[in-house]
Amino acid sequence: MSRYASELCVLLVDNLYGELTSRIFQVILREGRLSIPALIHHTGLTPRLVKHGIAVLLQQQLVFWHTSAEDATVYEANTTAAYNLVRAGKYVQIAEEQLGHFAGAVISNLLLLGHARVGDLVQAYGTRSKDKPPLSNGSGSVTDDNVESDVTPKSVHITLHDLLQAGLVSLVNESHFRSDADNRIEAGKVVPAAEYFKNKTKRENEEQREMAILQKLEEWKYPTAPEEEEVEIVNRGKKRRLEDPKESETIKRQRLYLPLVDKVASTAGTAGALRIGHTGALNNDHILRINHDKFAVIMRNRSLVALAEQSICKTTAKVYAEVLRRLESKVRNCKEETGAPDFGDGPELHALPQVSTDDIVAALRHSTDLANAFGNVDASRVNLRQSDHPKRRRRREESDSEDEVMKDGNASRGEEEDEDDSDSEALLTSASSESEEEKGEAEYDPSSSTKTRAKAPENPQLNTIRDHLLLLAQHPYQFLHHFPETPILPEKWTVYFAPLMAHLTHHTLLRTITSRYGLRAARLTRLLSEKGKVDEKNLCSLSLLNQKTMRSYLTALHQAGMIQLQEVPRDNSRNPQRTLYLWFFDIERCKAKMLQETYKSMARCLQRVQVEGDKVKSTVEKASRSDVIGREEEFLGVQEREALRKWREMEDKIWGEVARLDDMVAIMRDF
Amino acid sequence: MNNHLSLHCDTGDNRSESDSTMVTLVKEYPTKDDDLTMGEPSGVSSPQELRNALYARCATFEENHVFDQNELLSFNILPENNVEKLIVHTNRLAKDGLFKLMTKDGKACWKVVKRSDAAKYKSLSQDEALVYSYIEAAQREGIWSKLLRNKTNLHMTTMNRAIKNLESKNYIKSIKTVKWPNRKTYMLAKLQPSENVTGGPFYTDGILDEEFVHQMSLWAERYIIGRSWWHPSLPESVKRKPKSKLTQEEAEELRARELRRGQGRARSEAMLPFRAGYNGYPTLAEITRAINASELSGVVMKESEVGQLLDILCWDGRLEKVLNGKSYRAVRLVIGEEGILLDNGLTESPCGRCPVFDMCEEDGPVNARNCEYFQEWLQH
Ligand code: SF4
Repeated sequence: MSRYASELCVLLVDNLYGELTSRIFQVILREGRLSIPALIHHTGLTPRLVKHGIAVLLQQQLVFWHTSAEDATVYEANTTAAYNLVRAGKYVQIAEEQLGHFAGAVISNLLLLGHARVGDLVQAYGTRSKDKPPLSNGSGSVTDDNVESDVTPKSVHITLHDLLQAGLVSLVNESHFRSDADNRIEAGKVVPAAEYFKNKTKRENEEQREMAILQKLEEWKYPTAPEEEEVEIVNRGKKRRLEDPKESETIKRQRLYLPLVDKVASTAGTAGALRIGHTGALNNDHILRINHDKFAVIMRNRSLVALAEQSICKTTAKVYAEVLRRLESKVRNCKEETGAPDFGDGPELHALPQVSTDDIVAALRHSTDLANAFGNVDASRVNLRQSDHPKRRRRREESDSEDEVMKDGNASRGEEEDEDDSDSEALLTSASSESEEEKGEAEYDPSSSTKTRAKAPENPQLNTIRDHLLLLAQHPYQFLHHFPETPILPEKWTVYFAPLMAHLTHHTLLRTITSRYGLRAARLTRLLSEKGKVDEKNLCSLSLLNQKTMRSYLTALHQAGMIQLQEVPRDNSRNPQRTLYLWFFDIERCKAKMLQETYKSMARCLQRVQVEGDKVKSTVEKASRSDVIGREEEFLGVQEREALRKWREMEDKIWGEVARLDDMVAIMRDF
Repeated sequence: MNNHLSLHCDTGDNRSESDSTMVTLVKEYPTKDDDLTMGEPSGVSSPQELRNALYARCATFEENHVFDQNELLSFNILPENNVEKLIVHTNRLAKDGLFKLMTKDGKACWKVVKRSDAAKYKSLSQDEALVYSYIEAAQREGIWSKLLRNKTNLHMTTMNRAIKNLESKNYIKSIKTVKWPNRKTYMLAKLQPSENVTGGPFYTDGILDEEFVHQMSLWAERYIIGRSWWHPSLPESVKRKPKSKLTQEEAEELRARELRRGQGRARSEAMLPFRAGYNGYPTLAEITRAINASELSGVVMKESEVGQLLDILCWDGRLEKVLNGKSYRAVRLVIGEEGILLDNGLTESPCGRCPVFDMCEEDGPVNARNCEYFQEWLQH
């Protein structure tokens, strides 16, 4: 973990959980694994405070712990979780968007608690709404603004169930509290030794064992229907007691810090974890947590939709969003192509989760504006076959009607274009006649056209949507991968994320470079990324820049660490004049550099928030006194209110910026 | 040193006849008085006349034709058509500078030199002639002075004098090569440097014509934008007049306007994509044709040159290759274009643009607490 990233993590912890916690966290981050006594030594805090701090960190899953055979428990920073604190706002928003307002509220509650027992979550709401009438509809999406009043235990259960189903929350597993390395060791303990596998060679045994370990790790990571004895769900009750310093003093140390002793939640009840009974209730003893991986998947989808909108158009992006949404449930995290094992040369595309055209059409049946999104074009200009069979691409006539139209363009256009936009769109919709489409269709794969065309009258949207999908598939970024219809299988689509992410990253990096160093710098960078290592002379003639200009851009880029320079001496003298200088663009290095810069910028933002906050501290404190809330007019002076307003604005602005920086981090690191 | 030489040879000399080495007309064949060696006169023609006839016959061939001795004998000009006689005559012609002796596969062969050029040789000193011959051999590629010195084996000052004299007689000129702008390169005064030397249409006198590149790429981009997206049709009033006869001024006017605007379209919010399978995205050949038809450039652009232009547009993130890289499509949104500034989290944050970013540390002299850039950004 880099310096700026840890700086940032500490700031985040500090911001949300106060100085004590962040101080302990910082020490753990700096020193690595520490036991309580060591922590006490390093922080110079009293044992009580340290234990209290650790309790908070554990509750929020900000530290991993590991208990060795000698009964000594050590703690290790969970930097991913710490970083993810910055996404809290996004999580709530995503949950709201997907499952309604109340789901957002539950997520924010869960974020506050770190992880929580179902029963406790229900109770938290239940007490507040004991005597309210029960929710009338059974659906999980509570869209009311007036959430609190409508909440019943049942609705909480339903929402939790929906969240579980959507993968936004998941069951807590003991492994979630262990670092990856520890998990690996633990898995090694559970899986039988290599000799157990009855293969011919030792190597095969080892391999099989390795597979078994990976499988175990996977099971732990995504607990669904947990097996007995292996899933030991952490008893939350104990942690809660830890939070209370008075109580914690009374409990013996080893009981406290050996979390996996007797009182581990029985796993018998968790067998039916995801099944919801007739009563619509989840098992109250289940412990839930935020599933960061899933949120990352959703964030990734959003970035992709934004990219599609930028590169094609809004409507196509809308169709794309639907495809991604359909696939969402099948994509568990961003780092692996779900369901398609990669044997070195990329995953088997057919094994990727797919979605059929019919599903998309069904999902979008209420969207009416899809057809308006296309430019009207002469049917002779459309040839679907060429995109599928590049070699058979037919040569086009030189002059045709469209060229004429285009040539007619001249003088003072440009500014007026925006105005006649709407009516021409309307015109165009009517003009995109069926016959044209049919022609395009007919040229397309004959095996698929029969069914497609037979359906066309029923659903006029089918062709339009297919067009959007094909557009996405044909884009150089390859937003979609197309499986044409076969005699047995309907037409399907999938997203092959890995290369797409490479494009997204490249796109993002270059956008930053363009914006910072100018278009010419971007030209040089793209050139280098396409051509590999290039010497200055060639770079000069390829880029059509004069040498002086080019050098100034290269130097700027090089200094910023965006591009690299390699010196190749032509003889042993190492004379600079006899040395070749090759420039190149290493996307990984550039990405790493920019990621660090982003961390640093985020850290600076948070530091500034603190500084600005300190300036208005007294006013803020006054404003948050219980007797002042709601009666600000009375208690606060004009100046105070103005300062408060300004402070809130500023805070919003900075946090907004941090969130946008986080989007960058997500693209460069998580997707 | 050797590297430099070989490098130059690779780039500069590859157009000269590769397998024939030029042996110049210097002294290697000392000429005797022909009247003595010619034996008794043939009665019909004097040796001079014979040589003239031979020269005239050869001059009817194309300029750089290389004759071997069989070919010369086959003309049947010499009364005694044998090799020895022929050699005598050709040597004399070579001495007069009218023939150029070369060797090919170890055998002697000749090239005709124009009389005017021969006259030049005659007026030159030996050193000058030597220098001149190499410069001439370099043709439109030109020759680097260092290489010239190496080949001629002349002393620096001697060579420089020779070059100076040749230049003052306006026989040769010094040129600028795009690849090696600092190298003194010479070529015959009457020749136009090749594109390797000038760098093609984008260079003037070895210097990149940025304005030209800019105008051409602007035009090409607009042309491609017009064809890769659907645009709302333009109001009637601004449409160009039908092709009636234009007066000179009108034509000029129109061209100037084209230059400014191009005949394509600008990016706009109203652009819509064409349906999947649209194949109207222009190809390199089409774009080249269109550019040449626009007569924007004074010279006819080759596909490779237009390709270079399109490459840089791609690298600028303005175009992308579609349909298996054969056609070009304009990118929908371009950063830096008027009104469209697609900033991201990093570039819009104060630190992302901070000039002292690298120095900024929590307890350092530059830090987030007292930083003015932040103040400015907050108030913005
Ligand atoms: S905090 Fe201020 S000085 Fe530091 S990097 Fe950001 S803008 Fe620059």
